[in-house]
Amino acid sequence: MSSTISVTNLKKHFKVYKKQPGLWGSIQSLWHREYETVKAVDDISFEIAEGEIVGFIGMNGAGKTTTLKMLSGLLFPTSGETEVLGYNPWERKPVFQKQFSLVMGQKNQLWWDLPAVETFYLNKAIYEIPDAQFEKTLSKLVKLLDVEDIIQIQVRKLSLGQRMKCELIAALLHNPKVLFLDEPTIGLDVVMQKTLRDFIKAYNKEFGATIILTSHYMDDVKELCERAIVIDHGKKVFDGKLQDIIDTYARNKILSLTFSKPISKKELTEFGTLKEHSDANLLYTATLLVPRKKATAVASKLLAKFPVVDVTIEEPPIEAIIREVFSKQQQKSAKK
Amino acid sequence: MKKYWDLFWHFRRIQLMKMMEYRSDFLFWLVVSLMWTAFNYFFFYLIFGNVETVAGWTQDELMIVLSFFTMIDALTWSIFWPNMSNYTESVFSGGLSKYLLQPVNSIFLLTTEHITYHNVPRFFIGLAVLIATAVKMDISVSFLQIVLVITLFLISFVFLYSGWFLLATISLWVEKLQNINDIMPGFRRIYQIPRQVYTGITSLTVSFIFPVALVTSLPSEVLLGRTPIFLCIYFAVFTFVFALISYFFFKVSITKYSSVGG
Repeated sequence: MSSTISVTNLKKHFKVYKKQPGLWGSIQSLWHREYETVKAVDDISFEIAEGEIVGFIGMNGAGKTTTLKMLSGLLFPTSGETEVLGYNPWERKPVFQKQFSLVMGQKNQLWWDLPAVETFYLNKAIYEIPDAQFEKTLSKLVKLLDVEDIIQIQVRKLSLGQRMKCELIAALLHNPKVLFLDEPTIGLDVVMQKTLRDFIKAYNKEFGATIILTSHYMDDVKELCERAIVIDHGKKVFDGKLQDIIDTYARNKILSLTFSKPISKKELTEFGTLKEHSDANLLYTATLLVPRKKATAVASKLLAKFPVVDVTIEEPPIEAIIREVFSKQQQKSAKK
Repeated sequence: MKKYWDLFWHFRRIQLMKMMEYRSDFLFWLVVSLMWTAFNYFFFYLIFGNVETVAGWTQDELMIVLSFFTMIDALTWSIFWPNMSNYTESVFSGGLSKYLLQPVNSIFLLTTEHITYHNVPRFFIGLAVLIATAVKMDISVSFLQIVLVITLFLISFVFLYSGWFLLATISLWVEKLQNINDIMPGFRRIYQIPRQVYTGITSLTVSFIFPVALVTSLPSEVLLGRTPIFLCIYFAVFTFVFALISYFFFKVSITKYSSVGG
């Protein structure tokens, strides 16, 4: 498969000013400021093939958004090379800009004081979308996202989820070949998150679009991406199949239990590592960490042995897996 | 080119729709804008209650200058102010990203997206007073003079725009510089009166080094039949170079854009 996105030794360093706390710190800053260089992206390289959906995973400030901004031509790299669809993004050629979209969950691209449909028509003019294509794509997207009733309501009066759906429509009207989605489901309820995930999957399938997705929600990444790139402190620490990360680094699953009677800590520890145990307010709950492969069997045993009212099996939070990935990387580096 | 023409009018339509969403705001600022215009003319009538001429200009001649000023001022507040305020604010908030991502010249977007319609009537008031004064003074103008007046007016527009855009672009180099948009309006007082009012080093500064005093004086002088041809050429060349500097300064400065944290 041909490479749609190519990144080689990409770096972005920012000089930031560190202010001392308090009023005296502000006064001192008038004549003396301490700066430090933050390596937001530090020498990362990767290739993404046409039609792939890749999850960018990392903690806050890891460098995910900065990378996406460089791939979009918004930020000028400190060094390194990027190529998207055969173009250098920084040249910001209109022919390139017509082929990609950057959707940022925390930024509003719609005209705030007008209905979203006005932004759609403006984008039609900006991206020079032929009438027939515009009408066809708009009606399809509106139907898929179920927003027929809201596109004529002032954007400022819409809910976050409704706005996000309209943002997506505005970003996809020109049928981009490459899509950068930066936390598209942030702040949305679970139903809305699922709707957007299904939509992104359908878009990828229908248009063969190459998609990079950043999200703090593991479900987003798990459901959409086969491949994940983990970034920490600007460095790439993992690049491979998502399942490989989970299998390799998330050794345990989390079992959350609710009992109808009190169960002692001792009885539970033989099933796994007890992380939490409570019998306050006549609510008997416990949380166990159990090896991934044994999770289902352990849950069955618990159900058979104890008066379990409720049980859930969950993956550890993405942050925990990333920490595990990163600590392993550090250990590897230390050994070299 | 057609795309840009269509987009220009598309933005005008959007802003008109936006204005109609907030009718009271529009009406309030329309009244304020008309009051500003009335005060400007009233102020000059007060002066001519005490003197016959100012720096060799009669009351009617000064009315010509004031009319060009009113028209330029209307465009300043209708076009420059909202767009440049949005530009500097977007650099600080990260909203500039929107303009850099779209397949349209970023400078075009930053310059044409906004307009405040409540100042537009001032332009027509200025034009009406200009025509009425010219008729009253029985000025006969050739076609060439009209072309030159319109050209000089457009050059003045580009001159002020280049200055404003250059200043606004400085915001890409510093963390926060929103008050930068107060500098260009500060120069308005200089071109509200004829360039002949300035003498010595002041005249050298505002007529040659940074020829802001020529903005209204030159079209007025041409209309009154006393064309200072050297100054007209100088002003045109200066404006052309100034616009180029402003453009290339943006090209260099945009590499400094740091957006905001995601």
